[in-house]
Parts: sequence; structure tokens; C-alpha cells
Amino acid sequence: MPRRRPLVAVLGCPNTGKSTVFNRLTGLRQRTGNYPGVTVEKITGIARLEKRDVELVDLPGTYSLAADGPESGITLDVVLGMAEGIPRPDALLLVADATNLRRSLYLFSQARELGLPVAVALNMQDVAERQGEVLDTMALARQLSAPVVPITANRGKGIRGLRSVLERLIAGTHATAVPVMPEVREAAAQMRTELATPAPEARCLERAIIDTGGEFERRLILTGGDQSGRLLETTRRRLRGQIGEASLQSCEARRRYRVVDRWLARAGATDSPGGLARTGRLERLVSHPVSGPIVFLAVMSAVFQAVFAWATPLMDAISAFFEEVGALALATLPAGALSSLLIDGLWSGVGAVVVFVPQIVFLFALVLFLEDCGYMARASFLMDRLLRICGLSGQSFIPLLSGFACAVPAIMATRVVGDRRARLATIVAIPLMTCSARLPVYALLISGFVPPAYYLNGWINRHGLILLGLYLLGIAGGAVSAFLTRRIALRGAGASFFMEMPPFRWPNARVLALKLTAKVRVFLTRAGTVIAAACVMIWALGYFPRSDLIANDFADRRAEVSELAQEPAELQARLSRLDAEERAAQLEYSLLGRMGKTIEPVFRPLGWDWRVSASVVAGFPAREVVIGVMGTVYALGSEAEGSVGLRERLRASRWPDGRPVFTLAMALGLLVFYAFALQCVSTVAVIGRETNSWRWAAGAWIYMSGLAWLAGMLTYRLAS
Amino acid sequence: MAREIGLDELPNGCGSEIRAVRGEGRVTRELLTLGLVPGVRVRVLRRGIGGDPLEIVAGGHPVCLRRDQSRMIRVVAATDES
Repeated sequence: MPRRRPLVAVLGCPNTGKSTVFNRLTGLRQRTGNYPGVTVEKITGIARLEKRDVELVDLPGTYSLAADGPESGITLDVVLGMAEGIPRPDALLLVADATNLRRSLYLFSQARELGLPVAVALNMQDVAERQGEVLDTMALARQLSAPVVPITANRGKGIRGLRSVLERLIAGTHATAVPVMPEVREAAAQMRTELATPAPEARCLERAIIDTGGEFERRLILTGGDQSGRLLETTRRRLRGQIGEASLQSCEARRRYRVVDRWLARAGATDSPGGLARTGRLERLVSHPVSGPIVFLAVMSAVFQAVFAWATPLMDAISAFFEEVGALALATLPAGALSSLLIDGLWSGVGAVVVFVPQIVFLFALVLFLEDCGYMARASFLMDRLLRICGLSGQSFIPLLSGFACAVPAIMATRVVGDRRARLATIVAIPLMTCSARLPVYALLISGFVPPAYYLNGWINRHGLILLGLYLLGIAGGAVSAFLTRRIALRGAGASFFMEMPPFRWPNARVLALKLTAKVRVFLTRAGTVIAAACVMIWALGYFPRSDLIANDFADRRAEVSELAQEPAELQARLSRLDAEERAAQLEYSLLGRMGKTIEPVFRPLGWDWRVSASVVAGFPAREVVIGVMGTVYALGSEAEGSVGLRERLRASRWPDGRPVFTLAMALGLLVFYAFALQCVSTVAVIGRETNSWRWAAGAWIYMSGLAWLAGMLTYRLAS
Repeated sequence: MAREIGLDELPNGCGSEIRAVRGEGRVTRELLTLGLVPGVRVRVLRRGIGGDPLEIVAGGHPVCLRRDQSRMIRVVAATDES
């Protein structure tokens, strides 16, 4: 059997650029998967060194090996070779933030006791140098008895040096470090002999002894029962007496930080000027209890204004392009199922995805800019109090704001929320933020059914006011949903909130571009592919089965019209009118039409006929499909493409007794329904993935569908 | 020996020294891990609206935490103005 490649586990604190280092080392040779039973993504890759290849495994960011849940327990599991499907690593690579070395070295002081060689990559070296935090890396390496490589991962600087250090690390020998808590190590060894059940790994047992109520204590009691629990308590009591401190955790942290501070002092580290640089005027302005909220509101208004002003013309241009090309292709290609699939299914599906890219790009660009320059941390600081009322935390703010672009990357961004319950509540609130896909439906219904009016000498427009109202409705719905989630499903003590305050700094354009590309890629791959697939699926549901009776009937009518040939232009118009009517008739006969009719009674209380019901049902996989389906269902001919034509058609639609279907009340109810409904398969899927529970995904879908129906119904009744 | 008070009782701009971090659970563990350990110098920089959350500097690093968490951090009552 060939010897397997050496394995190196990459660990580090959150936000140290660990994944960037990992990407730099492995390039595209990566695989992702999941650890069984936890939501942590397992990312492995192969790094090419000079003489050999090594396998790398990227671990979730953590400040300590002490774990408070199965997710954070993964780090120690992998490092000790206890995770399923991963052998014990041969070495560790610790990625440290050169600008915040103290916390990274705390993790290092734990990692060096595991009996594996450790290399330290000092990342963000450029920022550290710019801040004047120069450190003697040679001296630090001597202090740590480990190789230290200064790098700037996002520019690829120092990666070559890191490769050769890894090469030597694997080939060489290393000395095992003396533990900071020798008393605990001894006690763990003794406890292993006393345990009645199979003892856990010695290092895990040490963590179980130190971390009261932590993950490893939980596991020990799960396998060992009461006997292990009692033994754990006696051991702890004995150790507390031996050490002479009331808390083992406090003792460990104090001792480790003392070691870390000694290393730093001997390596020539100067005290961080952090405390002094933070009393500037800008800092006071944005964090002040009075001026802070004013600045916050101004920044947020500027963000949304900019997104609308920049994205709207681009979005209009993109949708016009897709419509024109589609109409042109439809006119050139021979009629039939295939060309319909290509144009009405695939092409408009792709168009439905691409049209949202401008808004998503602009909003994420601004969010990332504000995040990187340090403002978002101040905004989170200001918003914490408000968000806490709904059981969220200040860290929920960025994901919630991202939800206005697309819920899928926003839900993935909730990983920064430290508190588990606050994170889940944030995930529940995000789909209610007005994402870019809701806007086309809002625009159509508002401009079609709300009579225009202007207030304050034309400065305020009623349509704009209603749009703002829908945004606020989404925010309110999110707040109430998060609150209810915390009250009903996730009861417990208030969320903890712990956040570092980065200094204000000018963001690096390259880093911003990289992060933005990653977000847009998430939208295109995770959401875009599903939206496009949903468009094709809905096309099929609306196209099949086809009725020969209808086809023959329309063929007759076409012949009739052609015989009574008048002017060619008029004939052409009447023929395309008939085409549109035939499409509508076929849709009524199709599966989608039948679904609409079957489900109509459910939506009758909201004032919807089967056409609206069918369109809304079609929107459940991806809400942006609705407009296309409405275009077909209301026999919108290609001569009147676009929302103006659709608007006229909707206004003309009647109940059998002659009353109009689309009244102001019904349109308002439909708008409210749209504000709340979770009509997006990608969002449901990403909720399932990120919570690692299909119950959460299904629960969110059922809850939001019910909420949408109820709120839509109430709006309709009240407005009638 | 000077009296012990909660970090939340320090006025803005005042510094002191951490004596102990109370409690045994997850929150205590987080605070300790992030460097809020006995012996470290802390200073309250500012507070959010209504006095919550707090922005502090501990061991040279600025961090935010809630009042409930800061109450678990016991500091020496004699403070220094700065």
C-alpha cells in the first residue's frame, strides 16, 4: 500500500484569514464535505510542496480548544485524529493575525501541548507593518520553539516560505511542550484508570475537567454516566485545592496569557496603541449616543439610495435585453415545444437570475466596504440594544442588511453571530427582509393598482411611500418572527455578545473585490442555478399536457381570420393576439392551470381567482417566476411585452360575474402576501444546511406561508 | 485590599485591574479565552444607548460586550481617571 500523504490541519482564530491561507496553499485542489452530525463544512485540499504533496484540512475558526458545542468540538476531534474519515494529522499550521497576536498565541499555547509539530503563519503582516507593530519573528520563533513565517495571504506574499517551512516541519522532529496545567494532565491520567467505561482521549479528558459545562464534559457524561460525573466532580474539587484557585478555567487562562505575554515581551512586541488611537473625533461622532444614530440613519439611507439609483437602470437594461432577444428568437425559431423550452423556459430563467446581479453587487459592495473600513462594527455596537429586544445580537446586523440583496449569502453570513440562539433567530428573520427578487412584483402591482399621488409639492410620491412601507413591513415581520422564535422555540438566557472593535482604516480594493466575488458567486451558484431550474420546471408545468382540442380550435380561428384578410398589418396583429390567447388557453389546460384551479378555494379569502393562484403557486420555488407566468396566464401577446402591457391585462381581468379581480384591496393583499411568503427554494435549502436541520427549514416555510396568507387575507378584508 | 466591583460600575474613561471573572459556564469561558483574565488592565471607553453595550479596552485590545457579561468581570474598586 502506498504511504498516504502527510496531513496538516490548519487552525486559527476567526477572521485571521485562515481560509485565504488555505486557498493560497491548495489552489483549486479542494474538496468540501460535511462532518457527520454537525453543520461544520469539511474542507480538505492538497498543497504542492517542493518534494512532496501534503493534504490540508481547514478547521473552523476558534479562539480556544475548549468547546461549547458539537461544532466547536470538531477542532480537537480532527487534531487528535478522532473525526470520522480523517486520519490523525502529522502537523498543525496555526494562522495568526499579526495585528492581534495575543489571542492567536493563546490558541498556540494550547495547540503546542498536543504532541504535534506546529508552524505559525503570521498573517496580515502588511497591516501590522503599516501600523508600526514590528516584531522580531526570529526571536518569536525562538520563544515559541516553532517556525514562524510572516505572510500577507491576500497578496500571496510569504506563501513560498510557508511551503518550505511545512516541508521541514513534516520531515523534522520536534520537542513536546511542557503543559501549562501539569496538575490537570496528571489528574486526567489518573482519572482514565479510574473510569469504569472506556476512557476518552487524554487531551479531551483534560478539557472535560477544566471546562465546566463544556462539550467534552457533556460527551464524558453521555458515555460514562453518573460514575464519570461523580469522578469528574471529585477530581475538580481536588485540583482546585491543589492549585489554590476557585476556578480551573480562570487559572488556565491566566497562566496561558502570562506565558503569551512573556513570549511577546521577549520578541520585542510593543504595547498595542489600540487604546490611545480610539478617542479620535470620528470615533466619538459615530459611537456617540446622540450623533451615532443620526450618522447611522444617514449611512443607511445613502446605501439604499445608491443601490436604487445605480442598480435600477442596469436592471431595466438587462431585462429589456433578455426580452428583446427572447422575442427575436421566438420569431425566428420554428414554433414547438423545444423552442418554447429554450426561450420561455431556459432563456427567461437565466434572465431572471442575471437581472438581480446589479442590485446584489452594489449592496454587497457597500456592505463589505463599510465592514472593512470598520464602520459596521460601530453600527453593530449601536444596534445591539435594539436587536436584543427581538432576541438577536449586534452581530446579526450585517447578515440582516445583506438580506436586502439576497437571503442565501445573508444566511451564510450569520456564522459570525457568536450566540447559537441569536444566530438561529437571525436566520428566521432574514427571509423577511425585502430581497431583490421581490422588487419586480412590487413594482408591477404598485404602479398598476395604486392611484398615483404626490404630497408636499411633489417631493413625496405615494408609490414610493408604499414601497417604503413594504420594506418596513418586512423589517417588522422579521423582528416579530425573531422575537417569537426566541420566545417559543429557543427560550433561554439572553444572547451573549462579544465583538472586537477593529480600528478605522481604509479598505484594500483587492480584498474587497475578492470578498465581493465570493458573495456574488454564492448567489449565482446556490440561488441562481435553483432559480433557473425552477423556471424550467414551471415552464414544463405550464406547457404540458397540451390539448389538441384547443390547438385545433385555434387553428380554425386562425384560418377564419386569414380568410377575412384585411390589411397585412392588422392581420398580423390579430394572429399574434390569437397566439397569445391560445397560450393562455393551453396554460389553463396544463398542470399548472389545474393546480391553480384546485388551490383557488384556498386563496379565495384573499380575493384571488385561479389565474392569480396559479401564478403564486408557480412562484413558490422562486418568487421571480411569477411575472413571467402572469404574462402567459393573462394572454399577454409578444406585441405588448413588458410590464405596461401586463398591467393593462391585469386591470381587464374579471370574475365570471363581471367584477374586476384586481382591485386596490386585492393588490394590497397580494403585496403583503409577497412581503411575507418564503417563496424561494434556495433559501429553504440554505436554512436547512446552515441549521443542519430540515425541521427548521420546513418550520420556517410553513410559518412564513401561513403568515403571508393570514396577513394577505387581513389586508384584503380591511382594505375592501 | 481594595474593594471589588463589577466592570459595569466603572464610569466611561476609567481604568482598573481585573480581579476575577465570575461564573463557570460558557460566557465565563469566552471572556477568559479572549484575554479578560485576572491581572489584566481594563478601561471602559464608552457605552451604547442606555448604557449598554460597553466598549472596553483590555490588554490593549478594544472589544464590545454587554452589561450582563461585564458584570461578571470583577475589578478593583480604586480606579484611575484617564
